[in-house]
Amino acid sequence: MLKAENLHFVYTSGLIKTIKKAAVCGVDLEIFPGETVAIVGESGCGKSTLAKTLVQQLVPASGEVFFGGTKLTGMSWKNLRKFMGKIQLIPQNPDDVVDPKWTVERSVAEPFVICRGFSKEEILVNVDALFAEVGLSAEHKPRYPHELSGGELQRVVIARALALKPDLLVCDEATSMLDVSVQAFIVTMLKDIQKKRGLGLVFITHDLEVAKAVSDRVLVMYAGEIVEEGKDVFDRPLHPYTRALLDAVQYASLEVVLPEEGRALPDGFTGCSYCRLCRERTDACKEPQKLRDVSGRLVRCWKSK
Amino acid sequence: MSDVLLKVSGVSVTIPTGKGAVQAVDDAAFSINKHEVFSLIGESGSGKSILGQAIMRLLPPNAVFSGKVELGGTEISSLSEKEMQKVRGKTVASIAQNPYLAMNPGIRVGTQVAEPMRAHLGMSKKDSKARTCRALKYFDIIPAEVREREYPFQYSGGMLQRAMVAMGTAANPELIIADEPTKGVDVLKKRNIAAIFKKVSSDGCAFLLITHDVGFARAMADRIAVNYCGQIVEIAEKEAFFKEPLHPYSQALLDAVPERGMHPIPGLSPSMIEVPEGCRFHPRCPYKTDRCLTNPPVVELDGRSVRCWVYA
Amino acid sequence: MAIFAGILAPYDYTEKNLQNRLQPPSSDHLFGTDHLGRDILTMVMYGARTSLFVGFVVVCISLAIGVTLGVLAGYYGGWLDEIIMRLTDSFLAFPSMFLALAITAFLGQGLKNMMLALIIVEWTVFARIARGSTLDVKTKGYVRASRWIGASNGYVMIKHVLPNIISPVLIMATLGIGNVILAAAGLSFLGLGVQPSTPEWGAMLDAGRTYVTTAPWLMLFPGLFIMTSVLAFNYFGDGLRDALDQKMKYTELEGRF
Repeated sequence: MLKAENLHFVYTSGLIKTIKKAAVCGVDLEIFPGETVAIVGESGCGKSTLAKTLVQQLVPASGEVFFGGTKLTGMSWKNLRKFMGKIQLIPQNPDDVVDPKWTVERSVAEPFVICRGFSKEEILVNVDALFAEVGLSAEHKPRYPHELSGGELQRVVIARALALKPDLLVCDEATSMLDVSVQAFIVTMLKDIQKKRGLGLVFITHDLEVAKAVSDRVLVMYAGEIVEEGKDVFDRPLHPYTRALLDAVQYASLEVVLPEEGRALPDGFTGCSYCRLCRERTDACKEPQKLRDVSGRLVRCWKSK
Repeated sequence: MSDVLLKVSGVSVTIPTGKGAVQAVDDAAFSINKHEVFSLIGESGSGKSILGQAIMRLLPPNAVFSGKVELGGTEISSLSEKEMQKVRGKTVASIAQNPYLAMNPGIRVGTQVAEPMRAHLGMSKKDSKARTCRALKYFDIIPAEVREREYPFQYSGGMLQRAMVAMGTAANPELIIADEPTKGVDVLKKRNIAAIFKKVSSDGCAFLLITHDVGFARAMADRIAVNYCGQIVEIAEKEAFFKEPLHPYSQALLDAVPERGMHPIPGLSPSMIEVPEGCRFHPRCPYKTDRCLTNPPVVELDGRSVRCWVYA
Repeated sequence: MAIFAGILAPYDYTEKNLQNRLQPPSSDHLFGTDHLGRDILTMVMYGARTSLFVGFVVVCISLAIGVTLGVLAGYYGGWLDEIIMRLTDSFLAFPSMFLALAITAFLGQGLKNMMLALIIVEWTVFARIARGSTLDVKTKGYVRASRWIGASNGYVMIKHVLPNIISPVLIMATLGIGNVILAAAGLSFLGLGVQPSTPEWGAMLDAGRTYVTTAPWLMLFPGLFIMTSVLAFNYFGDGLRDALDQKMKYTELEGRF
């Protein structure tokens, strides 16, 4: 359904001396209808940037994004409008995506207003249905965002995203700021909605437990690249970075403080981007690494077999 | 008992807001032994941070406090502000959630880390500097002599967090209160925070960890207290707690954790302004009966305590 | 008081009584009379009309111009931003009073010309504030979110940007009214404002200048009123800012429970 080919994104900053920082380097991915894909990685690995380029909120430096066979990249905003309701992004901070000066009801109704072609009654009926779908009652409707809790607000955001009957929801750390019980509620709700509507879900998260609990397929990202991709990644991790992540979740071997630096590789270095921090590195790691198929799993490490 | 370090009894905090008074902490009672890691878990808005602030006597000025806090035998809840300043940082130190907000951006990290040493231990500039370097080295901030002279913005997030722990432990406190040290932090950084906390606690410092992160509490704590809606509903040893949580809320909370299937707790968290009558969890509790409408007793059971009628 | 001047005023402001000229304050004439024997209290009341009218109208028009240009500049950025902001910068580069003086001197005396001059001076303030706030609001998620469901730029500006930048602009507006009253009085005092026969606080000050040693009430009362009204608007602006800030503070606190 959604397909990305060789996606690159580069941030430029600085006025006099421009500093370029690649956030996404050559990502290929494909998402099928009704599937749940988790993209995991530490903060700063480029997963949020990837999400934004997928939904066309950021224009990639190179590479293409296809949606159901249509090429989205390079499309004018006017043509893109038709696809906008179909792919929706649910960001981390719900209080940022609803206008603080609007009641939440008005925020949920906004997609219908913008798309036109809906009568007042239709909008009301639709908004009621959406509120019910995310488990909010009528008393929430006239409230302002600051009068709702984080979990309730995130449900408002989801209701709004569902308004235009999307085929794909991209959740960018949508639950990581919430309490466990609220997180459990939102995730279960999203899975229910997915079952009912048959939509695709992309979960972008640094919480491996959530990723494991919800996803059919996992992509592990490091320094803008996908280092491992497959179905049972967490049961049988092949890439050293995936293993490091899993160790961290289980709080294994707490005697040493792991280095967090080391992402800055020398200019022109083409080898494995993880080799600085990898405990199993050898000289062969200086060679460029390709995603290889290792018994149904894609791994960017020459060692794995 | 002589090995009790912190004893909190009957502490209540009420905060007036525009919509009515909020009883953020209701009759909290627990004690922390020396060298113990005690973790207070609960969801946001359950008043656990306020409890931490109450112990440090850093509550918002309009909050109403009652109860008793004893630290190493002295009652600190009745000390004057001036005497309290001597306790803060020396016997009990707090580690803030956000290192970028907690560190002064205009002062060198080394100077900030040395501050408690100079204020509480009366060390000279030279002595404190040497010790700061040692402390930074201890927390893997290397090369310490160079890093000591740098400013907070030159540090990475994880490193600044470690520097903050170095500052908190600079005057060798007996107790550290860490409020949500892992909020919004990814797995690798979380693991590193756990690693340095372990390091500090193995040196004999007791911890009060205030967190909503069940996994982190599980990795760190010796004993767990569960906070719901301003009340501590269960206190238990870690192994016993994770093996068999007693309070219905504790059970529901653990069931909501991803590795246990992410079962949401039915119902909504009650508003802190209009708390339910009797047991505060009863509207969402699967075991509720009529007696739950009256305040449940705190039941002592094999060294654990539960605030629930089921065990009465 | 300004609105009901017609009823409240004890005398007609055109009523001249040369026998009563330069009377000190008494029970007949609470604030005394001027060199033409007109009642000062009456004139002050009618003067309030002119001053407040000038204040409100000037601020409203400059707010409309300033906010429109500021939002456009902030929202679109790029060359449009450059043009609009360089324009405001060049206006801001002159001392505002000097610029107003120069414009009125160029356009000629009169209430309308004075107001025009003040508008030209005032709008830059609003443009700056509106642009700054727009830059902030523009990066917010709800702006991006509504663009992403297909909203046009105009829709976003009117429905999302405007409501969210209005509070700092309103605070500036109340402070601006005081400013404008003062500037208008200043211009009138220099003889560049209204016709001398219309009651206006600045013009009254000017008229009373010659008698300041013999009949100080001529200047005292209009002066006092300028001061109090400017102060009142400044306090109102401060209060408004506190009130709007308060709302923020409350939501933050209550959000925690």
